[in-house]
Amino acid sequence: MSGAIEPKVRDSAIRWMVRLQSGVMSADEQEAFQRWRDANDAHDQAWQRVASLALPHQPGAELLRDATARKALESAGPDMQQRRQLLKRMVVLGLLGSATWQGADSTTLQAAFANYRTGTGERRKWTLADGSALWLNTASAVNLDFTPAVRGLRLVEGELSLISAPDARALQLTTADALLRTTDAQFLVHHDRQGTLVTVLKGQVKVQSRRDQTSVPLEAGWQTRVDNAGIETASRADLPVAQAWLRGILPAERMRLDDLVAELSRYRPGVLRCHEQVAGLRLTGSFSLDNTDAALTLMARSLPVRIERLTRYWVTVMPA
Amino acid sequence: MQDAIHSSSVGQLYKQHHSWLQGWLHRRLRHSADAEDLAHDTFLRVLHTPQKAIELRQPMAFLATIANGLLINRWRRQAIEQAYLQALAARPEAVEPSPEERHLTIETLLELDSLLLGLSVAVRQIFLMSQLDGMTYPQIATQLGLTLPQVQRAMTKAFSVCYASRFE
Repeated sequence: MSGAIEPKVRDSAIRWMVRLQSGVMSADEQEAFQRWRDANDAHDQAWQRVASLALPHQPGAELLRDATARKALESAGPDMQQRRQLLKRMVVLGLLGSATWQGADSTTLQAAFANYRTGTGERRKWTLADGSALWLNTASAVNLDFTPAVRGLRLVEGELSLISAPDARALQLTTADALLRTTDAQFLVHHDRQGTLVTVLKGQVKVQSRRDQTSVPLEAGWQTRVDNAGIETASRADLPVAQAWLRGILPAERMRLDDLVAELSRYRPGVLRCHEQVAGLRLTGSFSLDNTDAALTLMARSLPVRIERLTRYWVTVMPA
Repeated sequence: MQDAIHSSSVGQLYKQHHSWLQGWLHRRLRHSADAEDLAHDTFLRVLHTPQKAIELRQPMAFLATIANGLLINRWRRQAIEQAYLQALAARPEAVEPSPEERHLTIETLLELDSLLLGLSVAVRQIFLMSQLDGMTYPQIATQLGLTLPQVQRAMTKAFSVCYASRFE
């Protein structure tokens, strides 16, 4: 594809497309859209691209006139969790015709392609098909692929806690850095750009680096990091601290302010930054992950800093 | 000449890692014929990869990444196939499509699915209602018992995902 389109322009084009498809666009809006499109070449180019995505324009789309093919495409979506929620809502509203959704709710599909996700600041627990308990911390995503041979999970981003249920199949969790295998264990995994941190609470987990294929067994009470360089030497884990997020708490012991701010920013939307003049101040305390504003207030009370709020989504910790 | 060097280095790769890769795939698939096929497909893919993109320093990780992509495609295909067969089974008509027709349908569906990859069933339904039935958002909202902003959000998501899979 020639020429990059700026994300902002792309998003505007998508917004206009969504608006145009609504079927309730006013004449004024139509004009505004024309003006936007004519305003410059980049707008028009972005528009051409978005317009090319209309489903009836795709090669083979005529096939979807066949109800069976259409049904297949519709029900092959990966996100069964969300679909179940939608279903529930529809049942409650009494709007669900029994025939419409039948047949699509296959348990194998459900098990093979379920996706679990939490938004920023959200923390949730699910019970998986095999009875294992999965917790996701803020802004995390897990894709499940359970097959008859293996219980596969992929941590795409974020942090999870997993209590595996006994099952004949091995449990195998992958991240971009690591491959973790166990039959029965309780463990925590945190994946970000720095790598994958694994903490075992119960049982044993076999940790393998996807880079160099080396692997080590990790016992309960130990943690290790897997990154570009391979697997670090395991160290003793502070288990209550490692599990604190499950209780919605961020414990800090003489923690650098910039580290604390970086950690808190995982739990709130927008930008939370810290001025470099105060970055090295240290703080001890227990902060609530569910109310980061309270954590900021506490910070301003205990240190010579003030909280500068440009908007709710743009917050900087400044020297007082 | 360049090509000859390329295929000989792939040959080298094959000799050293084929049995490991097949074993790895076997563990994931529990089916040796499938594992054999996929291992074969993986090396075919490598043969068609531009030489400079081939990571020879970490051959195992490189091969595993390609094989994993193929594995996911395969699972995607299975999901589509299964959804299609279920939709067929739920039909009142007794006319069965021929095997060729089925194959063509599934290929086309996979093609269309690649555009919608990652879209949930709920979002797909809303997108199809708008795109294929020409329903307005208020009509969709009423039929599914949703609010207007929910429909709008689903459509935005649908177009953003389609855009990303086509252009990004």
